[in-house]
Amino acid sequence: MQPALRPALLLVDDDPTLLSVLARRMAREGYEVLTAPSGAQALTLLEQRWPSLLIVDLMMPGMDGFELCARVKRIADLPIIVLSAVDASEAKVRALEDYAEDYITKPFDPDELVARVQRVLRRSATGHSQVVLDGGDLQIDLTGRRVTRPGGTFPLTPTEVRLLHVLIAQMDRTVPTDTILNRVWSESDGADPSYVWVTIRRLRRKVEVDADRPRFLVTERGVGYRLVSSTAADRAAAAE
Amino acid sequence: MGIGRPSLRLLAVLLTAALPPLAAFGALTLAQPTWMARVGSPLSVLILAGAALLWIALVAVVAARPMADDARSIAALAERGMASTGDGLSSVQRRLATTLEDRNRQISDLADLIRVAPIAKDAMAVAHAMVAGARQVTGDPTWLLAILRVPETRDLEAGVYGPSAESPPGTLDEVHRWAATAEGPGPGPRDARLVAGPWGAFTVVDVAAGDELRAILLAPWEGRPDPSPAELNLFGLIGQHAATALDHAVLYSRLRVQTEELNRMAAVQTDFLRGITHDLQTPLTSIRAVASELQQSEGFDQTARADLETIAQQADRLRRMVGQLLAVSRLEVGALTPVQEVLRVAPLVRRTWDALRAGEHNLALEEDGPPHLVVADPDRLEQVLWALMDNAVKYSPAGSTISVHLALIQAGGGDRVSEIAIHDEGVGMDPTTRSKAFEQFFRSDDARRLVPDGSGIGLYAARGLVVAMGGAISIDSEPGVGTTVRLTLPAEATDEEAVGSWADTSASTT
Repeated sequence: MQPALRPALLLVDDDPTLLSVLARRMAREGYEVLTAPSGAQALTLLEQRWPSLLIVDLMMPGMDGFELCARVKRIADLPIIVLSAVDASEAKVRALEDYAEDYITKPFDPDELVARVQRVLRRSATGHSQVVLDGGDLQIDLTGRRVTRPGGTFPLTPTEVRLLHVLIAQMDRTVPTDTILNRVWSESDGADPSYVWVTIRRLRRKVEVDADRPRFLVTERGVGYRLVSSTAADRAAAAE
Repeated sequence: MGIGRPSLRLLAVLLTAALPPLAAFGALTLAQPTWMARVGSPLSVLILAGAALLWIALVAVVAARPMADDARSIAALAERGMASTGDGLSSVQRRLATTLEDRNRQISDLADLIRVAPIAKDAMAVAHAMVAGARQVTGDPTWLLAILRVPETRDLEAGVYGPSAESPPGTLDEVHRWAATAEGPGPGPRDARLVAGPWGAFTVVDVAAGDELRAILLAPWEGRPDPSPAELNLFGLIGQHAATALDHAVLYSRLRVQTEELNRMAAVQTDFLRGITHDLQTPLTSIRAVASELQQSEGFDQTARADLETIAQQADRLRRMVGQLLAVSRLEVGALTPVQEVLRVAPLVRRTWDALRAGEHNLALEEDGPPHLVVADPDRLEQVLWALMDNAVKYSPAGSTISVHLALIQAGGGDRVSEIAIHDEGVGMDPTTRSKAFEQFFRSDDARRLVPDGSGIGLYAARGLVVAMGGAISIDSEPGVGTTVRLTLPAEATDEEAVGSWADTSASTT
């Protein structure tokens, strides 16, 4: 389902072959594609046009992707996907988590890039990067991919982040299991409802103080799952 | 003689007391030999004895006071006399007359120094520590250490060392000359000793490892009392400890040189691996992207399509190999942190099998036990499965079956883990090959013969990745029969009982 207006992507990579191939591919997927062969030219272009998403190669001569991301984020909160020839576990890429919504390691399948672009755009439409619940005791940081609650800070996996995005977008409303399945897993994952149950179960160990008696990630039997913004205790306190 | 006077007085008193009875007895005896018969009456004897006793008592009372004084003065003199015998012992001996406790404390101080010495940064520090130790333990600030031979240590040269690097000892030339002659007397350590030479006397202690004289501890001893046997014994002990410390320093230094060299080589290898992997990634991305684009477009004939398919396939193969290399270089520096997602293994096995395009082999995939999801990094697990199934295909004959068996099993700790067993009907491995199969770049003779262009990192990378994901991997194999690689990974059960109240009912019935 594409929005009526074609979202614009800005591709920045110093490899002209890759740039033209990816541009063609993204155009075929229905996006408006802008390209820049360097960080400096990307910044010039950004003075005239503001795309919906930025795709940046990390390793570029002159201004590297890291610096470009930092500069862009200083101007506005534009979603960024980083193309990286280094592994996601590199320290520098970890630091990039502050800037980039997602990263993809070269060499990648163009289909994979398309899938990631769709996900990031869908996610940025919800507009949440951080949610604070329970009067500040529970912090869900979707960009930093971590949950902080009394008892510690827990890292979130990419799948858990996607699942939380879906629940946060529908805060306090029950999201059917099938909807979660379709939004969080791609078709190629071959996921079934047990993926949702188990991911929720693992997520509860991070989010809930007592995973056996969930207060935030609530099961609506026969329907799906719901993220509760204020707990019963809060409501009781508010009623007084 | 002071001692004579009171003694004579005592003698005079005793004589005075005894004289009158003796004189009376003598007179009676001389005057009347048969006195006993006449003075037979007991009364006479009683009177005589009483008179004698009275006399003795009188004399004793008169003499008692001066006698007590004398006894006191004799005792005082004896005491003085005993003290004055000590004046004859030498001050050196007294310095040595340390109690056993003092001695033990000194030795434990030295032991502390030696404990520190082997972990000191270099052999120089050890040498300085030894001299400082000798000085501290003996209380003699003149000790020096002359190093004679230092095998393979680049940070300790032959020469003379004082306790600190800043103040080199002044008698360097002399000691050098001395050291040159001291090397002569032949192998084997000797006891600590006093040696006189043309430049003066030195107390010398050999610092020897086995038969090899490494160094000597020495202190100028000109014009000082000869060291006592106890002193020499202590010096000898210091020498033994010094030898141990120098030995440690030499070993440490040797080990450090080797470690530095190994680290340098490992860094070069890792840099090379990273560099080459980086260089491969960018063009590969373009090739794959272009191939994928072309495959989507119309207007190619059958042959061109087949060629395109080959390009895409080979690019994919290359991508996986680069991925393996990257994983290895990442594992080497411990920078691989897999994500923990949940997934079903069977579809991943099928997808990976399709990517292998092993048309001449068959896949038999079966699943046992309760349904479950494995906890793993999907990309990393795919890498592992690809490496293992690729091996199974490579080393088994065309037409044979590769069977993959999936099960939820009970692990040793009571947790349920997912087991993936990949079995082939291939050439198998002998026990030696099997024991080395997970080593980096290891390739057996069979492997070289059957697949000449393999890299030998597949199993190495697979094991590293499985372990990084919290799992384990093992091999069973029999030559000529086949090989089974078993890996276990953390699992999450999805059966009704395990999911319990968390499963929503609609979902669990779908």
